[in-house]
Parts: sequence; structure tokens; C-alpha cells
Amino acid sequence: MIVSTAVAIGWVVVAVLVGREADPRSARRRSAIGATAVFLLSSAAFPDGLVCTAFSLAGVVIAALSPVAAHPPRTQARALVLVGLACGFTIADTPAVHAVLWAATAAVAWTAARDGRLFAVYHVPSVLLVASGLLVPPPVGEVLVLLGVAVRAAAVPVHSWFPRFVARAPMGVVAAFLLPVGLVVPQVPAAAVVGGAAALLGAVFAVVQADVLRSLAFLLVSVNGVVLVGGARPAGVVAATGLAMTVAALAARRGALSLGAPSGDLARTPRLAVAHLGFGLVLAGFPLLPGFADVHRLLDHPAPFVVAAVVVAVAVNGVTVLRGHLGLFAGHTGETGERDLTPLEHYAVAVALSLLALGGLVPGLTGW
Amino acid sequence: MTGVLIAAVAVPFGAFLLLGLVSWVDLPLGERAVSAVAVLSAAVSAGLLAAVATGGPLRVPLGTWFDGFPLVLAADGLSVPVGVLAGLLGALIGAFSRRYLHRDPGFRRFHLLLALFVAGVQLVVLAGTLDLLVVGWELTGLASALLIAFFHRRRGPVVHGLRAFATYRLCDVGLVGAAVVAHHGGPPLAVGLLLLWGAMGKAAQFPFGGWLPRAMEGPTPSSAICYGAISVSLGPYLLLRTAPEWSQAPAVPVLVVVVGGLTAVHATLVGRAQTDVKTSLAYASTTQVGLVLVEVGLGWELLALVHLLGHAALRSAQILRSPSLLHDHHHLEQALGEPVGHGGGSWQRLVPRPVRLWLYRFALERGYLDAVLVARAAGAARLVRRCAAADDGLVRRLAAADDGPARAAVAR
Repeated sequence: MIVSTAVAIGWVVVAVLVGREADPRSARRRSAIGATAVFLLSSAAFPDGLVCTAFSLAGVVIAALSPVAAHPPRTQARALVLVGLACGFTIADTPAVHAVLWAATAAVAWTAARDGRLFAVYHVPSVLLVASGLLVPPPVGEVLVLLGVAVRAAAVPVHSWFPRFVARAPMGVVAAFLLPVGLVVPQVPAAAVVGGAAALLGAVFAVVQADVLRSLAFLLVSVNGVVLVGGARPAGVVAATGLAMTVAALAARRGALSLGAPSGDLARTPRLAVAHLGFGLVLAGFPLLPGFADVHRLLDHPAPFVVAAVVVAVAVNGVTVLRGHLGLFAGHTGETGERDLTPLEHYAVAVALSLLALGGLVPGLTGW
Repeated sequence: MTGVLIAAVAVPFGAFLLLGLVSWVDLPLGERAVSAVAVLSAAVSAGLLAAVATGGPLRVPLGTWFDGFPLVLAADGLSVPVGVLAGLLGALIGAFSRRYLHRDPGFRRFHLLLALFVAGVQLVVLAGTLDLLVVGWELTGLASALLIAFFHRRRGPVVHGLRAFATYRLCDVGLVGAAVVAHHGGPPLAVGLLLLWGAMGKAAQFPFGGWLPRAMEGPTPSSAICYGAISVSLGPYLLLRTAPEWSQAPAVPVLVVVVGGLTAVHATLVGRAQTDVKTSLAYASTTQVGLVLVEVGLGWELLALVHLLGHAALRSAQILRSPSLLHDHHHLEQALGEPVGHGGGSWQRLVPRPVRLWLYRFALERGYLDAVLVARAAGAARLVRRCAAADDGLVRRLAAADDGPARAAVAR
């Protein structure tokens, strides 16, 4: 608890320092250094504070991969505050703390959202539902919390805000906003049913999209659905953040990303391509990566519908990931002139992917 | 022997990790060294399995990987021959590719994927539980798809690689479903049907076989090991390995025979009308694998295994020679001193001309099956896209108030 508190405060301190910078590039450098320091601090709580460590690793990825054009210093600071607030959820498992943090994360994300009204239409009720649900005794309270969490998890049919949020809000804020979803999911059978349906529908919507950001949004909907079934997945959180930030880094290089018009070349940007595929395969529950163990545990769920939905969703998500990978990094014949991962990006991706690979091969060693 | 058995899987996987690490840090490793790593790892894996064979059947529990996932390796009369063949073919293909892909920009990537493929196959072959088999199954699927899309700057291979992967994942639902149903003590009929579904994708059985001829767009050596020999053989291998589970339900063997028979008839008809050698060989492969499935369904397990191994060896040799087909044909004609006859004319005359014409059209269009399936899939995708677009339109109207002030500012 002490380490988690220190980590949450550390994130806020780093955010304040970054927000004061004038130059976005030096802000990003400072942000990555600060994020690394906080991540190392969070590892002091390992293995009990695994979730906080995973959030901090996700924070390192956010700090290092945020494109400066879309992430001026104040936006970077907001993303780091959101990571700190997410770590705050792990300090104390009490309803009041969770209700306050849930509202605070929504408020910070609101300030960065470009569609403020749309965001408010969905998230003011979400905050009210979670706050009232955490204060009302179960089972009514649990149902209210589930409804509130389902909005942030963008579970179908309350998902409509999310694809637009992913497409228009800074990706660092999007990724950090989703971090604490799994920590507030109530342990009720209805959560698994809502999650299973969201996982399945999100997967089906994601696999047919031609626009990469919309495909990513629905893939994250599907992944959040799996979180609603099985609770927080530390490796899944890191992978979802990694995939989102890799796509953002790519969009900063290319502009609009479409799967209909091939525009990349994996031979020119091999590390970017491997980062995209690696994070994506973790999300798709691929074997020898930590997502596989997470999905395998869910197969023991007593409800056949939930198991069937998760199995199909994971299979379809695998297709979405490879479709995205081949669409973004293959099929282009000319010189793209695109830059591979910068040293800062390379550092964050290498650390995250190595820990994920290690966690996949030896789950006992990393705990995920 | 336990260590030797583990090493048979670990060595090719280690080669994959080594080549992956070298590629990530961009070490200047020459073609000779890259090829040596891939070839030696596959050959060592085959050698180790051959050494295991001398000690008789072996079943090695290795504890649990994580909660609820036991690690068990099994070497017996079924797994060792297939594993040795996979290792030897992997080494052969690696050695062949050193010259075939000389100075290709993707040389290292090819050998990396080849090592992953061999590691995945050895895991499938030696897995003592269905759960562990799924791990190797997925690895081979990913390696196969990425090998098909190896020439990534051309659209064709990329699209076909994705199609193969989509088919694999669709059928993996059956395999994972079978593991889940088996864990929960479900009926053998359900387990059998799901296993058959799982095997049909990898083995390119009717009606999921459309990806196989397209998969030939990959480099010839990978086509030889994946689609001539090992990858397509994993479907029948799965059914052979799990026969004790599904044979308790009388309907499953019948279905296995029906699927295999239908595939054999369809593929042999279609293969005869194809105009390029690799597509013809792909359909020939499908025909033989269909026949192996018939043998599996009839319970002739030894015959099925021998047929599988013999077919794998012959077909991979044919595919490796396929780029030199015209050259070989000229040599043959020179040796014969006359044009090579087509043969089969007497059989053709037995079929009435209208039926022959219909059959030819049917074969040329690959049984119309692909067109129907692709149209159905495209229709479903269109429907989902329309739903998503309608939803997006609703949100646009809701968010219009946010855009309004921004647009006014731009106008000013």
C-alpha cells in the first residue's frame, strides 16, 4: 500500500514537471525518464503490487510513444495523471476511494476529449452509476456499478462514444483512461454475460473495419469485454496500451491509416512492425505470450455461452491483429521514407515486449 | 531420455529465439550462419527424436506451466516418425533455401519463420495433452500464414496469407472447443465433431480447402514443407492422436470418412483442370490427405500413418522440383525421343460429352465453392459494416454540437 501510494504520487509529480515544459520533445524525454523511475519504484511492490507495476509499465509506454504533434506537454501531463490515478485504485480497495478516482479519471479525460458533449453524455451517467452503486448495498449496487463500468468498457450497446474518442482524442489519454476498468468490475454473473457479448460483438465489428483506428477501437471493446468476464489482466493492460500507442506512433508518421490502401513496408520499419504484431498477439491470447494463460483460465467459466463467446472472440481478434499487421506493413512497393522506432520508442517497446515474452514463457516468474 | 525429448522441442524453438534476437538488435549475421542455425536446429531435433525412438514409448509429465495447464510430452509409434520426418524436412528445406533465397532481403525472416514452424510442429507432434497441442497448432498456423505472405510487397501473397490465417483461426475454435468440452467431461460425439472441425482447416478439407492453392504464392521451399508435407498432415495427425476419444461415438468415424471422401473427389476433379503446376500439386496434396482421412475414419491407422509419411516425402520433393518443371519436361522428351503422352484418354471416353463438359467447367471454377463462400463472407461483412456506419451516423449527430463552434471558428 505504501509503495502504491508513492507510485501514484510519483506519477502526479512527473506529470506536474512535464506539464511545465514548453518544448514537447523535451517534455516527452523528461516524461519517459520520470516514468522509468516510477516504474522501477513500482517494482518494489512486486509481486503483490503486480497490477500497479503493470500500470506503471503501461505508463512508460505511453510516455515514450506519445507523438509530440498530438501530445503537447499539457496533454502528456494529463495522460500521466491518469496513469497515477489508475495506480491510486490499487492503494485501497474501498468503495469510496474507487468512486472518487472513477470520477477523477473521467474528469481528466474529459478535459482532453475533443467531443466534450458526447463524452459527457456517456460518462456523467457512468460516474453517477458507479458512485451510487459503490454506496448502495448489493445486489442493486453491483448492478449499478456494472452498468457504469460497461459504459467505460464501451460494451455494446453503450459503445458508440468510443470509436470517435479513439479517433479524435490523444492516444496517450485514451490508453491511460482504460487502465482501471478491470479493477471495478463487480463479481456478479451478469458481468460475465455482458462481457462475453461485448467481446464477441466487438471482435466481429473490429475484423471488418477498413479504418485502422476504428478497427483498434472495436478490438479494444472486445478486449474490455474479456476483462469484464475475468477481471483485471495486467499483461492485457500493457499489451492494449502498447498496441494503441504503436498505432498512434504510426499515425504520426503516415497520417490517416487505412487497411484499404497499403502504405507500409515491414522491411523498412521492422521494429515497428514487430511491436504491432507482438502487442496484438498478446491481446489475441496467442500461445507463449501472457494473454494465453489469461484466456485459458476463462475457459473454466461455468456458463457455456460465456466460454463460447470468449473462444470465438479471441479467434476473431487474432484475425483482426494479423489483418491490421499485413494491412499496415505489407503490400507497398515503393520507398516509404518512414522512420523505424526512435531510440526512446525502441527502449519502451523493447522493455515491454521482453517482459511480456518472459511472462508468456514463464508465467510464474512475472506473475502474469 | 526426458531431457532428450524436451531438447527435441526446445532446440528449434531456441533457434527461433536466437534468430529473433539477432534480427531485433540487427546483428550483421551472414546468410551462412543464419542458414546453419535453422538447418542444424531442425536436424538436431530429428536426431534427438530418433534417439528417443530407441528407448520405446515414453510419456513425460513435466509439471504444470500455469494453474490448470499440465505439461506432458509423449513419444510413441505415432509421434516419433512424424517428428523425425518434420525435423529432416525442416533441415532439407533450410539447406535448399540457402541457395534458393540467396541475397533475398527476407532471408533471415524466412529462416526465423522456418525455425518457428519446425518448433510448432514438434510441439504438436510430441504434445501429450490437447491443451499443449493447441500451443504448437497456433504457432504453426502463424508461421505458415507469415510464410505465405513472405513476399510482402505483392498484394496477392498478403491477401492469401491472411485468408489462410482466417481459415486456421476459424477452425481453431473447433480445436479449443474440443479441449474445453473434454475438460468438462462432455459427450464423445461433441468432442469428435469439434476435433474434426479443428482438423479440417489445417488439412484443407472440404469446404475449407480454398486457402491451400492460394498458399502456393509463398516461397517454393515453404510451400514444400507446409502444404506439400507437414502442415496439411497435421489435420490427419490430430485425428490419429485423438482417435481413442472420438471413436467412442459411432457417428464421428462416418463423418470423417464422408469429409475425406468428398474432399478427395472434389480435389482430384478440380486439380485436373488447373493450369499451373503448384496449384495442381496443391489439389493433389488435398486429394491424398482426403484419402488419408478416409483411412483414419475406417480405423486403418497404420496404413494412414504410412500413407501420410510417404505422401509428405514425395509431395515435398515434387514441389521443390516444380520451378524446374519445363526443364524436366524437356529432358524427359529428349530421353523419350517423342512428346510425352497425356494418358487417361480411355477413361475420358467413358463419360458422355455433355457430362464431361460440365465436369470441366465445374473443375475450372474449382467447384464454385470458393465463389459461394467468399460471397457469403463478403455479404456478412457488408452487413456488419452497415450496422457500424449507422451507429457512427448517430454519434456524429450527437457530437455535432461539439464540431459546430470549431467550424464557425475556421470559417471566421
